[in-house]
Amino acid sequence: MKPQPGLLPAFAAEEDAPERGAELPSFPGPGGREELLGRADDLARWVEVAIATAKGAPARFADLDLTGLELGLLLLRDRLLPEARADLELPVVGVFCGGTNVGKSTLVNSLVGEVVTESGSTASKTKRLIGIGSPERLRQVVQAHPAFALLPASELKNPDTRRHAVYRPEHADLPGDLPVLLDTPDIDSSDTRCRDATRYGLAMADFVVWVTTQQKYKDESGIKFLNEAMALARCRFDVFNQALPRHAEALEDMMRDYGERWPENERAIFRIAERTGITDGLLPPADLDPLREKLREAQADRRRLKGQAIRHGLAQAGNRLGQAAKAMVRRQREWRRVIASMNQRFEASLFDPLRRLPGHEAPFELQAAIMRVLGPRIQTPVSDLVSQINRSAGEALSWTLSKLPFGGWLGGAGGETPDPVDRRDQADLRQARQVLEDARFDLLEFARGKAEGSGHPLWVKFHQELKALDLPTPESLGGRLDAHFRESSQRMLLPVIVKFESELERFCDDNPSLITAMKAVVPGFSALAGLAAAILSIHTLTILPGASEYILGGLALPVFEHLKGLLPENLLKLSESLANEPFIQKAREDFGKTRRAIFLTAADWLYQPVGRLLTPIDLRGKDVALEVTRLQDLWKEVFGDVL
Amino acid sequence: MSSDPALATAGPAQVMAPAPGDPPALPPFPEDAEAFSEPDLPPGLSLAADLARLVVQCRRLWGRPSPGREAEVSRRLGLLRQREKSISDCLIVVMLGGTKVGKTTLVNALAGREIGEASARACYTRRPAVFVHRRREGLARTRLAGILREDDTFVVHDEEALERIILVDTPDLDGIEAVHREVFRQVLERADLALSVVTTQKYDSHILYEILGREMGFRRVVFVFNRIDEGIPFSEKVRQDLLAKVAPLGLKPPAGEELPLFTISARNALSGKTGAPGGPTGQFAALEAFLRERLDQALVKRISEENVAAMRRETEAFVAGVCRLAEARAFAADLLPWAESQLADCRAALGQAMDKAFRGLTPEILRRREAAAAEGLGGPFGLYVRLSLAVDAMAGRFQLFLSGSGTDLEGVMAQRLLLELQPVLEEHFRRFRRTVAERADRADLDGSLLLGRLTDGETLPASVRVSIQDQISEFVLEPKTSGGEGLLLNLLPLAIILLLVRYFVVSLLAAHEPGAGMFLGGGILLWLVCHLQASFWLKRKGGSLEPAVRKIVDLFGDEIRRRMVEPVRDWTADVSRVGPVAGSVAPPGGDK
Repeated sequence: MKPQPGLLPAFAAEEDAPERGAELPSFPGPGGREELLGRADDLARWVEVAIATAKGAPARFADLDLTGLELGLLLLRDRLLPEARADLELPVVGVFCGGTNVGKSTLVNSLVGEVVTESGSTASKTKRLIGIGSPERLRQVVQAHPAFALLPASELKNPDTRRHAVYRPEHADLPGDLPVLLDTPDIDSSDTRCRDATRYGLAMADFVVWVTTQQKYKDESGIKFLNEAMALARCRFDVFNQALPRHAEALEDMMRDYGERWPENERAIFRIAERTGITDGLLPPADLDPLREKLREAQADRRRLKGQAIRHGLAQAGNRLGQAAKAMVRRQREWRRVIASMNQRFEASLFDPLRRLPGHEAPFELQAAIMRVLGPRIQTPVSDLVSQINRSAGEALSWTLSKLPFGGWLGGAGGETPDPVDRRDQADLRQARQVLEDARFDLLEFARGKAEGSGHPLWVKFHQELKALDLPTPESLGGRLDAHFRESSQRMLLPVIVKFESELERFCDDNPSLITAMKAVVPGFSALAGLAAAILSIHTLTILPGASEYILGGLALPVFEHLKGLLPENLLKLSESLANEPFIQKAREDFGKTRRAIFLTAADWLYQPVGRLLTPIDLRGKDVALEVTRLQDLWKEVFGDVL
Repeated sequence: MSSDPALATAGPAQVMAPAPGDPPALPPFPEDAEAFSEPDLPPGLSLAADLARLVVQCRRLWGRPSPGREAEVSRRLGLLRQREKSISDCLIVVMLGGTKVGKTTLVNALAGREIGEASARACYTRRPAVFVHRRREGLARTRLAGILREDDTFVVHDEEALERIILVDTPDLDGIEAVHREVFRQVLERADLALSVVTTQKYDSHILYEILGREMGFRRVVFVFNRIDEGIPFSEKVRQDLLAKVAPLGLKPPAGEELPLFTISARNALSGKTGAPGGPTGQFAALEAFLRERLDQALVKRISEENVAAMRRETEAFVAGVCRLAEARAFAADLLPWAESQLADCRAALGQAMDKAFRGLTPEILRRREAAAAEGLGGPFGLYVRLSLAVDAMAGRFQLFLSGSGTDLEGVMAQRLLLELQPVLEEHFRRFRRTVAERADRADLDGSLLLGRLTDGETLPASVRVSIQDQISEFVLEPKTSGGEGLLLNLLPLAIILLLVRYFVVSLLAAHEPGAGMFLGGGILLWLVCHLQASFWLKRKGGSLEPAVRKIVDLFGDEIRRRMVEPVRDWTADVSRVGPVAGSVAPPGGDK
């Protein structure tokens, strides 16, 4: 069954085989950094498209958890690719994260030795990423991440500060043996922009310094944040800040709990006691010595730190990416099935019945054209007279029939000879109206049945969207159909008939021998020129019972069958050769096709609003888990010396 | 509890299934609302019972609330019933706050001894703990029924000043254990007043503001800033920040306009009371004074009554939303006029089909009517009429012969009529059902309950066929020719015949040959007279089929009305009888 062009979207074949990008080598590739970069870039692009697709069709994906996609993108674009390109030589960056008022900024200031970032008692002082370290190093880091910019902290006074930016305060210098530090906004503040900004910090972090207190170490927001962060970074420094002696139990509980939650991550724990009465906003340097020592170690062993961090990220975040991608691909497949199912239903209930209307195969107009063309040509004066008598006899017959009590049966509408073309069209229009009405009801019932039966979120959402649509009422559809049909038959069918008539005339003119043969061969019947034309038209085209003229034709068919044996051979051959003429077949097909197109346009009125809902999800297939595994192998191959 | 019933699922809606050790949940929702009748409360004062009746009615009529939400509805109605039954001279005061803000310590400090175990470890309190006066023990148990387990702390005291308060300690609302938040929500549902405990580290939590904004509803709030003895010191800036962040949430203070805020150190207050050396307690004394003296009998009574009224309103709005009462009413309002218009359409279509059907049958019926009229007619005219009818009848027999039946022509005609009209009727009926189903679906109601009332079985009962048959027979056999009429009609033909006979006799007597032309002329005259008389008389007797046709159309019309419109009318009347409930505050209309 060929879908009509432009009326139904083509059914896409199920594409589950993973596609390879044009530039990627076949699997597995030659290895080396080139392949690593190429594959990572390609996968990152796929993830970007996937995220955009999910955002673009929220109705289809709203109930899925697709954070794995964002984590994966962060890993690829912001961790793997920049580090691999720079051969792990970028400066080490540590990011300070934590909840409101845990003392992050105070810690950072104390490490620097002077107050460089604002800290205070009211919440969420830090609203952007603050970069601490030498300007060259910060520049290096920010340049490796093209989406970010390095700006001086004085810019923070402007009301509309950029989010993808690192702000460096004036004197925020650290000694060279310490890594670059990023101070981030609170992860649990009531301001959502603060919460988002910290994720950007993770994009640049090689390790995480998690600052928490006895009040906050088991908060849901903190744990959720760490669940994401620990998929990206391997190394974590836990700072138990503002500690009091009586919090010892809490510290032990935190050590145990964090160890159970993230066993894959390397960590170090620091306890910083609460200091009251500090006047300059800085903690005594001695308190931070262990932390400083550890930071120095991180800076010294930076290649190993980075290499291991990304390997860890590929395993954890890569795994979550794979799962999210699988969920998306599965949903895409399910949606494809929904679309196919609805389209099938439309086919069965709407398009197919309209294609099968009986009138398409009953080209009375072409019949009349044949009679118009052939009749005069094979006429003789005697036949002229006889056909006149024949016509009058037919009229008299129908008049008599109508006058008799039972005439109504044979005539239908007593007295008038019904026009077969009109009858055929009325019957088809009636049927088409019924089809449209049934299809319109059926469409909603089908969707409701599926939504209630399967309960699948896609069907439920689709049923809701369908209910919200303003489908045309059956009455308006019927009215539009009548007007459209009248106008279209005039516009589209008439040329077909005229073309056929001219071709037939040309055929008769080109084959005068055929005409003379018919005239000669039909001596006995040439008088009944009308009957002869009728017989020829019967033989070349099918006929349906109708008016008295055609009644005779209808009666003539069995007569013809009966007399076939008695007719001269030539006449039979003639009519057969005429029937096999290609242009007659073509004319019939054209007629059928044109008429079908007229009805199918009407079907489109019902299909269009629904078809708009049935847009497929356009996502290139990809075996993400396999790609991630390959990236892991490549990473081990290229940077195996530091792992 | 959500003040917007449509978002009720955002609130304490997802109550977990009771674990094996839990006490039995509230009694399951009984199907018949009679079980909800309150013998001790006069009718109209128990909103819960009225709402239960309403829910049962709604479910019977249009299938909402759907089975998925029944548990939620019954839970909330149970809560309301519990609340309405309790005496309102006592407040349930609940602790609200994140982990480690000091809720348990505060309860201990207010009680003066260790009620619950406080620990440095996070998310330590896992179950609610109750501190209540002896005389109110039963009330506390009733109001917290379904939440408290056997092993939950339940401490009874004798302090008069705290008689009007039931202190309930709760688990945290921002820790990683989701169960804690569930338990907290369950307790909050039954609370009258919440002590929102915060610290400098935790006052800016988005979870706190979400809960304060969406789930407090009518409950009063008092802010307690705890742990001022450690960490970042409390300052005026912090107070202003907190009040600014809380201002848009629309919280209700227990009395007056301003939300009370107390800065305390619960730990030091507890040490003070237990005799251990402590530090400054901040405004703890003021907080105690507030709870003991400010919340006096009159205020407590007022708060309690206002809360009950607000809970009634909330529950009523929720039930109206879940039952889709407004939508059902709108649907019913549109339905009846539409059904009438459909009926009119159907009648018109039937009329057309009837005309078409009768066009073939009319001549036959008319002829039979004429035959019946000619029944009692005698004389030469009668003979003529019967003869001409016989000729026609032969053609009629021809028709009869084709239809293959015997004498029961009326039955046959009625059957044929039914056969022609049945498809029209069926189609209209089918369209009616489908449109009703679609409209109900669009209004998100269950249309099958209304459709079930429409008579199933689309074939018309045999009585209709019999009635049609009777109509036709009535029409056919209606005309009667009285004797006088017959005499009048036979007058002229008889006269002519007599004249002819006289002429014949006279010519016989006069031995003339009777002129053939005379007889021919006389015969022709006779035939002419009879024909003219017959055509006029038969036409008059024939009459018009119109009234009979109208009667048959009316017959069908009544049948359709009985099947399509009457059930709809009944259903619409039932819908209009549903709610508003007696004793409610305001009829639920349009608010979602």
